[in-house]
Amino acid sequence: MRPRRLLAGFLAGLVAGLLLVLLNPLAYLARLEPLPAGEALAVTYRAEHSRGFEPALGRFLGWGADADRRALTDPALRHVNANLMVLPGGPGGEAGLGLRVSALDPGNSIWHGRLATRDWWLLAWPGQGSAAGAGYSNYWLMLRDKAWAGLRGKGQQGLAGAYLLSARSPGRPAPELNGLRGSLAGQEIELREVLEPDPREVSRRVIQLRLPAPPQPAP
Amino acid sequence: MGRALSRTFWFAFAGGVIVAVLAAGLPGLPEQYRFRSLIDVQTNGGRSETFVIRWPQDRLDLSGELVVGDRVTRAVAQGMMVLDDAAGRRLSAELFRLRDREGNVIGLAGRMSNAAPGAPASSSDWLLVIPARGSLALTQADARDLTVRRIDDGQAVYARAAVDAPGFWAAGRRYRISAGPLTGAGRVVHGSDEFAGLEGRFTESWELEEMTADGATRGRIVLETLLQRGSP
Repeated sequence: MRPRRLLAGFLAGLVAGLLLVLLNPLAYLARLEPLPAGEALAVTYRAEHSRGFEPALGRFLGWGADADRRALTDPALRHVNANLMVLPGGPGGEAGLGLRVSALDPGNSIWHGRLATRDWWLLAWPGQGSAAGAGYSNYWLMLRDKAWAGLRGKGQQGLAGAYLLSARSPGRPAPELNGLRGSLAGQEIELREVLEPDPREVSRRVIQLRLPAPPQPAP
Repeated sequence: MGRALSRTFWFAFAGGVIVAVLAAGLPGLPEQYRFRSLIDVQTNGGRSETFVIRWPQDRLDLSGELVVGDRVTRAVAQGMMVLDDAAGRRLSAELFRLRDREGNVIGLAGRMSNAAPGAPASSSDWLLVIPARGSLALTQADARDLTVRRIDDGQAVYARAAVDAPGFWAAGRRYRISAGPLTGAGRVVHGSDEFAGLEGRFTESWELEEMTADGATRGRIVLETLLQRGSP
């Protein structure tokens, strides 16, 4: 009777501990709010043209880093992802181009609810100029929901409609772009990124940009 | 008896919780590999660092295809993208591996080039990312038009980099690309992480090493940065 209770208690404790880790309250402390729709420009893209790691749980844990055919194999790039993207609308309403490089963040910690990437951006619009900067994306909540949905056999059905990836990174400024040229030169632009999971194709991503000065229409 | 068993259960339960929580911290999460930084300290203040890109091998081929009209563009597979319009405005993006002066791949570099209609030269922005150290954002006026061209041969749409444009190397094998007001230099505008608070200038040169009979080229892009702590 006693060993059976011992085993039952231990197994129940393991499950409770796992739930405690999954529901990690520390993951919520560094969250940012999305930018208000009326104050921010929303630019949508799909990360279809990319190279490097995919933001999956295994990759954050360092599993299968070289198994992916699209992985970057140089030692300094093994945990890096690069994207080129067409941005369908920007300041002034014109299409532009974007470039994002993401790398696994050195401060990642399961205990702290941080499975994150450090992101660097370069965005440009022909009539408006360009901006570059850095951000931080925590995939914890999405990966947690994915793991939980997987345990229940629900696949992508168990995911929320959208996840705000941008978060506060310990010891670093909030995600921000700095204008490099054109009408954006010298401007500090607040940035947020939202991921909208799509089970059928590459997930949609929305970049929210808050400019201090209203954009000028393209000449 | 019952109380003892209950105590056994809760002791085991607490053990299970502790084991699960400790186990969550066990996996050694991946870290970025870092090469030794090759930085020269200048006698009159500041620091210099040289970055190199070798073409064509450092171009980063990307997944996916872009459909332009009813044709697929190969540009993405070549690590390039082009937006152009009927008025002649052109914006192009290119992605490369980034090397230190000893040839080690230390990060990635992205270039955006922008040309106005009829302008003889473009302007460019660079984003240099060294994952273990941070990023630098650079901007400059170019001495030439460096935008990628979209070539449509009726079957597919290709991208052609400026280095492979006919006649581009007619005037020599080494070109200084930076043409900014800072005596032919561009500006280092912004840095992040280890580069935060640094600003300065840079020069860009292109060096042709080989040109084949069919016009394909091989060479290197050299970015020489001079950085110092910016005003707070």
